[in-house]
Amino acid sequence: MSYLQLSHLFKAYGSVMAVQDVNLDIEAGTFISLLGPSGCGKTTILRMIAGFETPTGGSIQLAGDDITRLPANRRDMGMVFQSYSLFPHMTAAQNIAFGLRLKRLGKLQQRDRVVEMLELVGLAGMGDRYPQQLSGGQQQRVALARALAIAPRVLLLDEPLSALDAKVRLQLRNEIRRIQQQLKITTLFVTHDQEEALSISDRVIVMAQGRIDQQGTPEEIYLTPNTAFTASFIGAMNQIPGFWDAQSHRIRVGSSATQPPQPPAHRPHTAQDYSQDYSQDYIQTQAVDLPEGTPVLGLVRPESITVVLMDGAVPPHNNGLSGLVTSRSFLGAVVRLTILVGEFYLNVDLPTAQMEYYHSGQLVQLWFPADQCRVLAIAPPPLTPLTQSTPLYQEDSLG
Amino acid sequence: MEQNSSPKNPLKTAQKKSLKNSQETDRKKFWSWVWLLGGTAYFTIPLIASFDFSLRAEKNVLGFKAYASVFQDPNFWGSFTFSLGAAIATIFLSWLLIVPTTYWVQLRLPKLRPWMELVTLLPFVIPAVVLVFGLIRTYSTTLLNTRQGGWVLLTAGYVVLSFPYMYRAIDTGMRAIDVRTLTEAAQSLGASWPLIVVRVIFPNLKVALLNGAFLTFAIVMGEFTIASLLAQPAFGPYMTLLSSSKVYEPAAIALISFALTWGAIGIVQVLGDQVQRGKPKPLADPR
Repeated sequence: MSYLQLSHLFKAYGSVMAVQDVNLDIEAGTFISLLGPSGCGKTTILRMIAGFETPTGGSIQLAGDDITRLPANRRDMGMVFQSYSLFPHMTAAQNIAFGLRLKRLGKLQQRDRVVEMLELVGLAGMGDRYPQQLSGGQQQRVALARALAIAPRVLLLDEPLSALDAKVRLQLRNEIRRIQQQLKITTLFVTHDQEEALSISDRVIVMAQGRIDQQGTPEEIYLTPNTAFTASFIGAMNQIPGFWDAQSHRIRVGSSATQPPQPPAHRPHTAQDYSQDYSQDYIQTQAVDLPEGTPVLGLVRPESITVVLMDGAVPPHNNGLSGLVTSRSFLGAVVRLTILVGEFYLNVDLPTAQMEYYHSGQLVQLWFPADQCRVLAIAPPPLTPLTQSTPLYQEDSLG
Repeated sequence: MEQNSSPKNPLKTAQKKSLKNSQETDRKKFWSWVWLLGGTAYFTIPLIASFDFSLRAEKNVLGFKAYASVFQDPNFWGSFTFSLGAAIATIFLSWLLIVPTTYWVQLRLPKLRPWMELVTLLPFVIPAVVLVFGLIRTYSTTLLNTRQGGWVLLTAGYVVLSFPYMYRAIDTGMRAIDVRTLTEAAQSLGASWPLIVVRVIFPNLKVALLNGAFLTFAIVMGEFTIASLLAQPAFGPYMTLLSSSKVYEPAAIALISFALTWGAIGIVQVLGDQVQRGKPKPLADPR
């Protein structure tokens, strides 16, 4: 049975539906991330669970009890906010003890619990400091300790790492996960940072426009996105538009199902030449059962594609393509090539060490395993100028 | 002579420009001092004259006889303590009324803020005499028939008079803290609304509360109209009565009143500085 259950939850602000028909079952002791762009409704859901917003419709159940209309101060939930929220007139120890005083714990018990919490978050001996004397990361640790001190039934974290710099964020998110696993506390974590969500969650809920787009383990979300939004939001994803060929179980690439014309006699000299003359006709994909002619997207991650210089061999059971490098972007650990393949672009991530071998305007070959290409049925893509002017050719016309 | 301004003499051109800028700055400084000294003279010369006059109660001798006379007058202490009591009551009532109201408007009803500002500015627009006449007409058969009724109405009138100062001080103080997040943090820890106001909001408004308090104190101590029309033995009517019957003592008491007002404002400054100094300074290198 779910520990925390949201049933048909709605929230409207005037005519704007911030949350639409959200259903969620959260098991006890799990770490769940609500992930999505700004304005998708993730924080609104968190605030409704905390009791700071009243749902327009639906219900929230905690351990079988309906808490939909219960005041926030009686829900027994700990919350950590983006903006630290420490009481500035109290020391770290006093902040942590605030909730304990309200529970009428004895002074000795309070002191012991405060010491325990400070040790848990790695701030032993710093209880007498005021918030202004702590760094951002330290303040968030105190905020976390304060939320955990009252032994809440659920821990709610509203983008607690957003205001911190990258290194501190990395360190603290691992701390949060360690503490959550140690205490086995049910945790709901709101973030727009997919790396955060994927790295520390038991389950990720991807949200868009007030609805749940997809939910699953981080691996499922990343490797097998079920919707175009999740595919494009999580990591970088190449999307190859085409139509499903049910007979050959392949994607027929392009925006129309026309027969490919004869290849030209000359080799391409410009991007325009190339885009008109050379394109991949079919792409092998994972097995899927769709009607003939269904508009689809072939989804393949940039890191799944291998790029080689022209005339390199393509291993069997792989999609071999030819393309023109149109840009090269240095991203630190990887370099991203944007390659024009026929009428669509593919992004390919390579280790930075290989950067020197590839440059804009270079013709390359690329290949990726068929099972790395997922198929997503969609509405037909809109026509683009390139699509309208580009005929389709066989790959071996490159010769 | 083109030599001085030609491109071949950039140094001379730069020097000339620097001299011009320096002269401009000196001119601005001169006029700043002129206005500052003029303004200071405008306010201090009458005070000095009053002080001088107050020292001449004894013929051909400069002394504090007028002051001694004032301080030995039992009516002075009676009216002073009466107004002091009214001021303290006014301050606490204002805090109790304005802090929760401002807090609620900030938190839940931000659209009402302009109306709050309008209402709290009304004492500037509506004369005190109109206010007190309204109070008398409304409560003539009820409160004013009781022993303490006049004092209650007086304090209520003072609370209204203190609105502009107390509200502005508290509103400014609240805007400096993240009221919403602090409230929600306290709620998530189990705090009720009264507890949040008392243990989270009030402590973070110390300087704002003191600012409002001492401004209110200064207003109440010098107030005449309401106290006079309600026939209350306050400090304001005492000062007016003294000025109609004595010569040198009114000057002395005027200066005492000024000293009270400036002293109150000075205490606001000192307390504000002390609260700032008392705040823990950020560590040079927090781990």
